[in-house]
Amino acid sequence: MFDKDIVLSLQNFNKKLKSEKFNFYNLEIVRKKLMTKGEFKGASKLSPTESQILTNKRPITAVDGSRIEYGSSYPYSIAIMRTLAATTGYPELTDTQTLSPLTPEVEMLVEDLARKKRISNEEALKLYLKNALAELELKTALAAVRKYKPYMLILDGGFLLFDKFDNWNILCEECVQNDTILVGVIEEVATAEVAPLIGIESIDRPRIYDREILFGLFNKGEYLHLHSDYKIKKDYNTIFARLSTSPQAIACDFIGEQESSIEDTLNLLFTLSPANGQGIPSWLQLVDARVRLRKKDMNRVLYTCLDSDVIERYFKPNRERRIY
Amino acid sequence: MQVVGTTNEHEIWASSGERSFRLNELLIIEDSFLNYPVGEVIETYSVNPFIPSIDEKTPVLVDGDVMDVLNSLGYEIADEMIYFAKLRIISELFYPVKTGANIREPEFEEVRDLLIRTLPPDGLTVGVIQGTEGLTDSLPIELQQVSPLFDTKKGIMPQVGVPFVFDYKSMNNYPHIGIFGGSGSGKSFGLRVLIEELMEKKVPLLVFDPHYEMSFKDVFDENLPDDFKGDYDRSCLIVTVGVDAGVKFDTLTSGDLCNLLGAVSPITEAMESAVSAVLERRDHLALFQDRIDSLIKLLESPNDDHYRQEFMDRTDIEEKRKNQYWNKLLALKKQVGQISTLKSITWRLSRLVRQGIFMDKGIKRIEEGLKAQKTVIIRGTIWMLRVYAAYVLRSVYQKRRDYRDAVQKGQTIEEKFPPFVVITDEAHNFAPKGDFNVPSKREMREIAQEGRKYGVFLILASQRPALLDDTINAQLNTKIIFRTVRSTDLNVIREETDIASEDVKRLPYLPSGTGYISSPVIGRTMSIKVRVSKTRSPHQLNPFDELEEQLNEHFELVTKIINDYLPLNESNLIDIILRLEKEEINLSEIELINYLEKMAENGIVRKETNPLLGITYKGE
Repeated sequence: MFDKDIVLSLQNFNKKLKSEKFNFYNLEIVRKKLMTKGEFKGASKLSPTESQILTNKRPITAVDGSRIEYGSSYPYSIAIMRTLAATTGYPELTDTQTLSPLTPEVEMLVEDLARKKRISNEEALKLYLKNALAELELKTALAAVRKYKPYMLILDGGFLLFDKFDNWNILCEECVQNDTILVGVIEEVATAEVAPLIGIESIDRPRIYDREILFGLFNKGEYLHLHSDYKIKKDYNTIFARLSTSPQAIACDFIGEQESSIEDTLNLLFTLSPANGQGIPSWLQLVDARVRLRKKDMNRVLYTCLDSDVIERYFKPNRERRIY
Repeated sequence: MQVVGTTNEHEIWASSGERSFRLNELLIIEDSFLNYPVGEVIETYSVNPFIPSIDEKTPVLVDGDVMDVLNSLGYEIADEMIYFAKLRIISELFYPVKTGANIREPEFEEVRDLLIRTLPPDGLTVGVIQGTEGLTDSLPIELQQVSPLFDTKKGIMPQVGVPFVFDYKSMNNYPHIGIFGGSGSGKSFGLRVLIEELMEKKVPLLVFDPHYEMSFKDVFDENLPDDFKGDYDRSCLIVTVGVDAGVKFDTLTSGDLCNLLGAVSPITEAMESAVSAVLERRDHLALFQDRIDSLIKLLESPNDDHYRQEFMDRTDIEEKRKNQYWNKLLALKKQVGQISTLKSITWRLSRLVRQGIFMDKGIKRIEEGLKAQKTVIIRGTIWMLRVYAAYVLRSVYQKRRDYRDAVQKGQTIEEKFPPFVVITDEAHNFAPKGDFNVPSKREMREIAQEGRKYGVFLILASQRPALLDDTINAQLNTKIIFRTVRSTDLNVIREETDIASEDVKRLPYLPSGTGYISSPVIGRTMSIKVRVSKTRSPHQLNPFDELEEQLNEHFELVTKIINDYLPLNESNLIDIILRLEKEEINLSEIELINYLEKMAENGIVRKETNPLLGITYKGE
């Protein structure tokens, strides 16, 4: 059983989050205010034939990556990454990478990053790996665009994740050249831009995140297209949308050159999202499911490929030796 | 295809993204350390990770509409199918199989030793081994088209798969075969195929046929390949108990006679002792009957003297023997004493006499048939056969024993007698489990236990293995199991064979003609499909088809004759009936109207109903 104090403090927390101080904005007002900054539009579901006409029978591609780590404290860990570009009706493309701070090159890079960002080596490693995976995803995505020239390329995550790498500009260029719509689908909206845009603020809180404002704001299939003067991130067009019955909004990033394709793309994305799912296109979910590395598989492959004395000496965390 | 998951030395899991696994197929596991072991698929599964299962609350990855659109963009969700299977390793291993090893389909030669022990000329080609369809193309010529198959819808089909050839000579080490399966399971069909094969090999067979279905002269189907057709009529000798086969009364012991009487209706101990008192060595039926009748009269008469007068007046007995006979009767009267006992014996005996079982032809023909390496088929009602089987088996088994013993001991051989195989359907009637005193059971048991020594073997078919005598069941080294539904029978099969429990679960659902063979001769249980038989049972016609056939018989001829008589009124059919009788077609008025109705249905005649004249049939 849980401690009484824990229960009490959780109940208080719940009360606080539901208090008026927290929920001072009204959905109708938010909508009205947003209408001055952009346009609410409804996406429509396409029939298979309409989809074919829209895409001109070109495939769509989704790219996702997965990473898994094994080990104890820094630098005794090893990470495996895998990325996957799945294109409808064509073979998959994958890339993999194995990284460990036990190798001098990695160690150097991680420690540089730690110094630069003034964070611990441990955190720097996390960040480094996150970037490395994004870079690998970018590489795979580029390969898929070159090979299959799809109608649409879906990246898992916002463009800010990717645009610091050299390949980003190449990818954008090639997408524009090949007439491939580049879209980044963000399942968890993490920005805090909407509230300042419409002048909502709270004296108690430094920041109001978009997630809470957008919750329940859209009807099913509805999205918000901000006027071109208002940008959430850099020069990208960020569209907030609700593509299923789930009330939480998602976001889609588009590059500036492809603003004209937003409507068609949203229709297609809405079509590809299961009505009762999480509100993201199922093709991305399929890729996500397929690329995911699992702890069980990770352990199996590690124990097969590394000698057990190597594992014991460097990697095996002591907590795994616990008997309870 | 590759090995996945945790393996051990006798079972592995295999998975494939491209092809599904077929039950019972053999696959080679490319583990060089273990010298490429072979596995047999024993369970198969398929799963699509993107189609949610019913018991899991997986988020709905796909719904129908989304699928249609993805499909229109070139994506096939069926391609996501993952197939996996459990394989039993056939080779004996001492190390586990390497996980991740590749798996591939074998060529026939690579698995030959696991499938074929002997070639068709030296064995019984019973059918094809299930799951070996993929090996058809790599079969050597001598194994091709030796076992055509039959499908009730498609008819005769070419052999697909590796033939199952039973090494019958190994019965010397592992004697006796049991064939089990419910009605319609293909059991009788399987038995017929086995008999055909044994006839090809000129093995003397003694077949008890309570169903009158064992005849081998009708070709199964004219469409059989020519080189596959067989004519066994000349190798068969069919005898019917009471018609051309019977028991020689003077060879009977009192035990035999009691068995016979008991087959009519169970007998009491008093009756048994009466029979043993009254029957004399080398007795004749007439003398035995007379002795019993006289004894009854003696017991019925008010006193001995009263009957003595009548007895002494008899003219059918020699004078000098009369006294001796009379004294015998008096002695028997003291021993037996009960009229009811004697009367019970009398009615049983007269029933046997009416059945014609006491016949001097005896079993000479049967013995001669066996000596000529023929198939002797003995027909009769089941109750008659039970008794007769005991008698015949004792006699022929004894002959074979005497011959073998004489050879063994180096004595002079009086009569050479060949080894033979005893075959019967409904075997549980001949050797039931439990305390039923069925005459044939003792002989069956004896052959089951020591027949091998003398070259006498059993092939017993039954729908109810659970009702078959345990001792005999245990001696049936090879068992062929067809569809079986009853749980008691399934339990017996589980206990008496090495059929795996997964396979036992499938037994109630096996299609007709498909079965398992469990035998030490082949080392492991195999699933087989019985080949098409070359001959067919005389009862093969469906009784409902028979009804149709009756009407179709002569239809053309009758139609032709009727045409001459049109128009016909239903009240005046006599002329045409007489005319038909000349053609030896005897129809009653009602039957003729049936024909007319059918002609009307087929539009050959027109039917007109007139309130005054009744129905008239007119030509079109």
